[in-house]
Amino acid sequence: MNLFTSFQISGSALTAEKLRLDVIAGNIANMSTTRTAAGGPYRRRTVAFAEDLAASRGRNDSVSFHGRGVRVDRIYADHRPPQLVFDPDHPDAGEDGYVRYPNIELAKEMTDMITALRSYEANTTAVNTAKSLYLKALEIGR
Amino acid sequence: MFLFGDSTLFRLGKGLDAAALRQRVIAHNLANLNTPGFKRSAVTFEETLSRAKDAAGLPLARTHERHLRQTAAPAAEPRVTTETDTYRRIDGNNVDIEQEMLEMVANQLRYNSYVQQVNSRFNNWRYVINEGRR
Amino acid sequence: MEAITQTALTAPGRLSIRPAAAAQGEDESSFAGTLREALSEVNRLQREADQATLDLMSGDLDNLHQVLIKTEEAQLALQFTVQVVSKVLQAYQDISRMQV
Repeated sequence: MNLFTSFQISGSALTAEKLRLDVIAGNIANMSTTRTAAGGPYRRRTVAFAEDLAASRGRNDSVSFHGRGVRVDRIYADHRPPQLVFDPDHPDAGEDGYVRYPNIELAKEMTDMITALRSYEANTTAVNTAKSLYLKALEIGR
Repeated sequence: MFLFGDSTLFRLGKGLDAAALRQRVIAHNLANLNTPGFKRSAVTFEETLSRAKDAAGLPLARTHERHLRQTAAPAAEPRVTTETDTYRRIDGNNVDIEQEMLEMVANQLRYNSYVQQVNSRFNNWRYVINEGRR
Repeated sequence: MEAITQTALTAPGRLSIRPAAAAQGEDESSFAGTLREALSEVNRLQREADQATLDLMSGDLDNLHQVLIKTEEAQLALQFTVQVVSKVLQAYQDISRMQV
């Protein structure tokens, strides 16, 4: 544990939530993407978080708290079947005349985005509180 | 840190340690708001201190040599406990954002008041050493 | 405040109620012995503060408030000892100037 552990903990969460926002933005932007490098329609992506724990104890680590915030475990692609829309004139329509669109619900993406935003704000508050504690400590002896 | 044998100053230092640790723990809880299966942790210190204070006021007499010795009151050290028995969301996560925010504000105020107490003690010593000149 | 008056009365310059190691080959009750003890205590506090400052710079420190508390303690201990020494010297000079 070192002096700025609080900042590192909240900072890890800011990074993680920002990545989640990026992924959600990518999902929304690709709602109608029918063509990808891997072939087939775009697949919805989701971020999985995991608790980050310190592996080894530092020299001055007097208390047993190993929490170090959060890390992004992985980003995985949704494997739900694509939505089929009948549109034979579409360049990516299949033999059967159906176009395969990504299975993305806008309402779900928006609620996820709000959740991520709220978490981001909460962690910003934590950074500010940690900063004000450090500044208060500097008043000792004045 | 035991200047002039000032045990209150020592305890204030421990209180500051606990408050700084609590800030870390709350930051960790908030960081894991969206981690499935995460369980929140909390720091206990003030409760332990008040229990130690109560225990110190009640000495048990040993009237027989085979009576057990009264164990010394537990030294008040900040301790981290994980709350595994509560359940708040379908994914097993039990962090409540409002609760964490409130505790963070309360903890900040506590830290500030401890710093003020430390300062007032130091000022008292300085006043005495300088014979009334600040 | 009770503590400081008591320590000052019983053993001028002894800064801690922790039993300090007695100075070797020196009568502990003598002024020189007490002074030596006090100075070594001041020195110990200063070294602790130095170590805390080093830890602060290397980022190897848990809590910022501990450095500030240690530094302040070292400073107060030093001021206290200097005050006691100058008081005793003044008393000595007062006595030596006394007409007999």
